[in-house]
Amino acid sequence: MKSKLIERIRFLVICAILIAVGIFLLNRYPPTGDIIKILPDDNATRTLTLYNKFESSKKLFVLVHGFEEDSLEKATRIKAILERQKSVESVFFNVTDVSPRVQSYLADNYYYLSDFNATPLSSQSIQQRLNESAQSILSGGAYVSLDTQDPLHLFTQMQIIAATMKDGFLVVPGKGYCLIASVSPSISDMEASRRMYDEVNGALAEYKNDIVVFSPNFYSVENSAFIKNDIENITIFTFVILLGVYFFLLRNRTLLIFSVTTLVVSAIIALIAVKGIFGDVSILVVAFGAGIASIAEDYLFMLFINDDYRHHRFNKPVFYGFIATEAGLLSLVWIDFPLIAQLALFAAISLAISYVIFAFFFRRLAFYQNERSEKSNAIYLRLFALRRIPPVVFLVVSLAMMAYALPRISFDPNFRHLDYQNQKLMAAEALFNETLGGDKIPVLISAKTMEELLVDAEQFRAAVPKSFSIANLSVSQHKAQIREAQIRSFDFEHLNKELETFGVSAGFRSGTFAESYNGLSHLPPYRMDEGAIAQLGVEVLRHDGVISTIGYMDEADLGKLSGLGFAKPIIGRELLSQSAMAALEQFKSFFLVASLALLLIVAMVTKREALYALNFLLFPVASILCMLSFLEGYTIMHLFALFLMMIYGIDYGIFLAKGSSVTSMRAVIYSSITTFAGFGILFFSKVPAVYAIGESTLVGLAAIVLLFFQKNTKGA
Amino acid sequence: MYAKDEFTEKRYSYVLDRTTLYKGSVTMSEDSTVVRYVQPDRKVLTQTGKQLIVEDIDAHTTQTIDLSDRIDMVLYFSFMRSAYRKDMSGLKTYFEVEREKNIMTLLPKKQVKRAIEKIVMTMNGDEIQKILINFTNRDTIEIETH
Repeated sequence: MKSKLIERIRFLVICAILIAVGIFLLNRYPPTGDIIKILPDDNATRTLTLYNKFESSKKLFVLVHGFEEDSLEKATRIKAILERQKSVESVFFNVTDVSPRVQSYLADNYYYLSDFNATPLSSQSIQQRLNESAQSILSGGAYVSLDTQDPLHLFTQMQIIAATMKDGFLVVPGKGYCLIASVSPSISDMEASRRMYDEVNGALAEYKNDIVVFSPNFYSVENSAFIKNDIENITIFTFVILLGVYFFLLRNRTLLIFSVTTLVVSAIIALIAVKGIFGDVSILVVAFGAGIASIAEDYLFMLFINDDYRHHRFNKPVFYGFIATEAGLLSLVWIDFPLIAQLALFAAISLAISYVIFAFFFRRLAFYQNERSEKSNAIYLRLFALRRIPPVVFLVVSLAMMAYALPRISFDPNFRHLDYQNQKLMAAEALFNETLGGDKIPVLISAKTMEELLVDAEQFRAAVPKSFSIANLSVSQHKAQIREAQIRSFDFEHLNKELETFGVSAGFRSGTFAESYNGLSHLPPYRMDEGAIAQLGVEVLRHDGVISTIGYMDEADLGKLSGLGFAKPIIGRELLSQSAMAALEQFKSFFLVASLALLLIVAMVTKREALYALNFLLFPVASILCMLSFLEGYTIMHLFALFLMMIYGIDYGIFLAKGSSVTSMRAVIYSSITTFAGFGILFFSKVPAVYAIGESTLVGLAAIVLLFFQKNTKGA
Repeated sequence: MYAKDEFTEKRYSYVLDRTTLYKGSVTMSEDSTVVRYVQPDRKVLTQTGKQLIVEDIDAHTTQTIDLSDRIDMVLYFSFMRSAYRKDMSGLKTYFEVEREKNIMTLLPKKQVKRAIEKIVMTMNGDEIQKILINFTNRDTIEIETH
């Protein structure tokens, strides 16, 4: 008795230390909510990852409702507040918010950045233009001043800001004033994004009823908080059901403490291992962690109810089931799809640790069934008698359901459908997108050198004139040299003489044009300033020997990109879909190989009972496929749940086929209840990815319940 | 919020050494400013967002101007709106506002300095009686409201 107590205390102390270290590590290296990190590493996701590295994607938008004086005052105060925040680098609100560096860049390079009409003008057209200028100054209309530097408008000004202005202020037309802040945290930096979220929302709390605040960073912050809350609620339900199983069915409360401790230790070690191997662990893995880890309880129930602990027996069917499960899960670890690979590795490690603890360490902790529990076998004995449906019926029904479902199921490649649908942020994003040009499509332009990049961007601008890119704000050396030569060969001296003559005849004072085109006689060379260009919203990124920048264009012009191999449009939805389709193809082939391997293992272990055991694999799979055929589209998470149910099916099939006693049936029913607690309960989640697992599990479990009525020749 | 006022505007162009007298009225609405000139030409200017539509009543012509790179026109309309709404907050971004008795002086900030030297407004309480704008190119505009 004393040694049992010491063993148990020692077990709990070791587990407590492991849990404490694990929690410390997980707090220090938290899971990621970044969806790109869980997608296959292919061209599509690499392009998206690169795009997210651009500072220009790090923005925060604030809309102040209305155009009244009060709104403008509020917007001005909000601008001052934002400028004080640590995570905010700069705020753009009106035309005067252009830094001296930018002003000097634009002024110094004005003659390079503007479009220049180098066609010589006839005396007649100079005369005509000057008369028109005089007329426009004198006729009724808004005040017009004469541009004495370029009176003939030979240079056309460049577009430097791609947004809507009103009275010099940035606005969302019809809605109100708008501020755009450049923020420091990148979208993938969850912690920094959360700090920014708290900081900005805290600072603007008093205005919250009058403003709309949006940043792409908010998605990961709000969604992960929602998912965390969702998981907490689900975990409470899971725990309540588990309590019920241990208190009322197993009638061993101490066992509950030790089994939950084992599951927690296994889950934490598995999470740390996944983090160590993959570099990042997805928040979705944490979300499913509780459920996946609880699969291991099957082993405990089977060993405990079979009284293997009391008799110090090694339970072969449980071991075979465990090996088949591990084989299936480990086959998925090699798939090039981080989410599935992470989930499979997590499941494989947590199950292995739990199995070893339950099968070997628990013997020393001396957990024995209550003698009275033999009585509870009575109800299962009655159920045993109801096992009358021949296995061949389940086989035929399974094949029929598969034949019906397979041609009808369709895949939903939109990964965003898996994430929590944050309607509030989606509405805010749409509001700014519609009006600030955010609905333009970003285009990634890459080259080996800066000069090549600028030449490419100039080609992009020529092909898509309504685009906005680095070509609007800078020029290549090649273009700068052409401009210099054009200006040098243009006879400005003669032009100035004509301006004086015809200017006076048009009514202008003598000497009005004395300064015109003066700066052009000693034109300084073009001076590139990446910092100034970045402040105007166009950034250059160097990575792996390649230089990239982002341009923007209308979706309608996408056809004009043909032949421009260096320009890759970034349509997140499509890139993610491409990635999802590639992932599906991979998953399908792995799935097929893994399924065949599992079928073989089950057949080899169960021999003459093979059909009985295989039905535990086929019938739940066929039922889930049938359910999927009624959905608009199934997701990768449905497939993952399908695979999990196959694993459960193998365990149950082998255990019932090999054991085929009342105690085996009892263990499997208890296990089904905990599976419902771990996975079926996910049906109540509001996160689509989690819900998908829940609905598949429920259908799979229903099929397993029906399989309890399958006739077993050995049992009969 | 609506406002309507008639005004007389005297513009002096230094480069042409000519003074022109304009007469008209201003109407403000939530999103737009409409200025109707009746003298010397009949023209209607409608500014909405970054767009200005100039309608010549007699010549039956309409011209649309993109204001996004016309800081002079943007300031002109910003000034019109602020003056007729008796609300100087919009102008505070561009100007330092000083008031001494019934004279309000607006000194330009940042790059507005390049276009405007100063603005002097003669007030009667909250009402603006006269506005004098001195441009750096030596042009002046004098507006009197009725």
